[in-house]
Amino acid sequence: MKLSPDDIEIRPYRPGDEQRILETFNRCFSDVDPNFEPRTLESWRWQYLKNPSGWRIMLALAPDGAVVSQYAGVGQRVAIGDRRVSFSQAVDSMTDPAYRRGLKAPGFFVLTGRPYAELYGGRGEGQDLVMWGLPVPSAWRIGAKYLDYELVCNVNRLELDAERFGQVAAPGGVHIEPFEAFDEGFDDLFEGWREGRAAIQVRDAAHLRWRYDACPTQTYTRLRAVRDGATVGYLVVRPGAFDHLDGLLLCDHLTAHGDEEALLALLHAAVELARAGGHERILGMLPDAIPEYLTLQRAGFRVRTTSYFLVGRPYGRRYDMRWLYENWYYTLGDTDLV
Amino acid sequence: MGEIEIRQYEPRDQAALLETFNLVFAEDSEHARPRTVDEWAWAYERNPAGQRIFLGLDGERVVSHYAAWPLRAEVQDFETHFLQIADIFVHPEYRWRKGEQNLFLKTGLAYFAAFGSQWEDVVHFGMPNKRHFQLGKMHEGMGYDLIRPHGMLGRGSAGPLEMPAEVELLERFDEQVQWLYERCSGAWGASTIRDATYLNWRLVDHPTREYKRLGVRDSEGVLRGLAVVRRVPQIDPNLLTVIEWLVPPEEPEVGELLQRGLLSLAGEPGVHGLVAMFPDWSPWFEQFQAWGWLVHTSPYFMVGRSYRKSVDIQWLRRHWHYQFSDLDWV
Repeated sequence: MKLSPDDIEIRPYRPGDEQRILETFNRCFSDVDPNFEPRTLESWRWQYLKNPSGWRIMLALAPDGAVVSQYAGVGQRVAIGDRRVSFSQAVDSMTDPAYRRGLKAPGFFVLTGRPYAELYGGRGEGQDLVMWGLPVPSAWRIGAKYLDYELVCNVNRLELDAERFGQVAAPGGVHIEPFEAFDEGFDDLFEGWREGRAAIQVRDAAHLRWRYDACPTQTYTRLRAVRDGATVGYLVVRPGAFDHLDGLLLCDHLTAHGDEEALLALLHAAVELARAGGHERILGMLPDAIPEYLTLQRAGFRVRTTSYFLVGRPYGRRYDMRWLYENWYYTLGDTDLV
Repeated sequence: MGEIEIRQYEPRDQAALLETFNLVFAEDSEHARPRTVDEWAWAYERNPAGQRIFLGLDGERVVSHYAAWPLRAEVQDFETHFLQIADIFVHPEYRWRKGEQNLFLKTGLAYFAAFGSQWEDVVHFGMPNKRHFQLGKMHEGMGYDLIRPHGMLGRGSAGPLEMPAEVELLERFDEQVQWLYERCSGAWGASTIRDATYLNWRLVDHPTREYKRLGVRDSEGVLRGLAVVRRVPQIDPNLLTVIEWLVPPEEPEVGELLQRGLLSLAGEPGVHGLVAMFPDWSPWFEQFQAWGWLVHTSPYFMVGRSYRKSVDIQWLRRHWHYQFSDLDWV
């Protein structure tokens, strides 16, 4: 179908658009993924409207109201020291295949991406200081040319093969407890655990409940590390695939900066779960500039390359991509991959 | 200050070039010491692949410099040059002159206009400092792109260890090194051609740097693998840096011997450990971890600019094999 830019309306999401967004989403992604399961309205609402850090959605609509294209993001509240700022992860960018050839370069991806960046990115109140994502190569090429995407790094995975499960020793002094849901206590725990970390998504109760307790499509296992009766760290895992490899996924974990004992106790518990579940490997993702990257390697994890690369778009010279690379704590759970 | 002339280097510029060079590099590095004529000639006149130098001149005074070491490279199915950008500078009195285009950019743009080519000089690369990278990135004409921030493999010394009997110290490289390169490079999409001429220039005949070259041969004397190390002050004077590692991944037993050779050298007094660098897709990146090396973050990042569509930055990220020996400062 041919449309000229004059035929389409570009605007942010409005309540009521979700059904048309989902129709296009399910058509676009079923085209490229044979294992695709249609996204439900509940799942969409969870990802965007219920996210305590907010949604960012820019749409291109045909005259009949059909969603031709979307550029969207999942908000993240991020602690940079005592400051609270916003980042967002770009997700679910799409253009209805029926319209892909209907517009000359640079196409709908850019047509929605530019006003998206203008509206949601910046140094103003509520705007995203950093937009980032894990694009497919074609989106990266267009994004680098038209939307100021910059490479942060290639994404490596941390992988513990079953043959090295035995290397992860359980340290004494910390015991592990499974738990059913994150509670308000994690607000204060996060404040303590973020000390020493230059930039980290706020992992308070609101975030953790939304991300892991309320997710309608995945079931996560939560473990807490306890020392002398006090919670000193948590780990969230689930079975799944990362970069086409099946295993037990280390979705998220946080301890106090430098509390290697708590982290190792959590990893040891993950090994027990992996063994019980018959998994061939444990998979995680961490930035290489944080001490945990070495802790996991010393515990037997190997660093291996993936097909993913992390890109970003900074708003403010201080927080450029190099800064992000050197300072940002993230895990698989910060992405929409798990 | 008069009109600045930007042009290619000519032999008559050598003395003035060295004078400014030593003035500039003495400024910002504790490891800097004056570069001698011999060292300069080694880098720019004796490089078997030639020279690429652009200068800014105020009269006879050299006020800016944008240069590269050409390296013969094999990429996909043809031979070309990869240019390692080195020794970029602007004379302190000529920086940030109001109302004028920055001399770094002016000289760099002239360099790229002259030497960027999809046939002869396909890829220009380097590990710049953060300031040069930002400047290069800010100006579209410079075309700097990040290939990857670089993790480094590292490990501590294991104490005194004997050098394996199968490992020998190599004095010079002969034609066998090219056979070895050809056995290794089949899996690489792009790499510097490692023949005797290049490696003797790069790792044997340097006027001041002393490299230790280890080799393993088979019973008929054929070179099966080599490793070259040196203490690099900019990385850590107490670490041995693996400058070159050329071993076919299908011969892990050769790698094992050479790694033990490296550990033996690292067991010498005053050496605290070893550091090495591989693209993360290299089988040796995995194997070194299996030997107990860990991947550490580093301040280094590889940037490049490609003049050939089929050899773009994304392709280089996945297919270009390089080592520290491809970089001038090690």
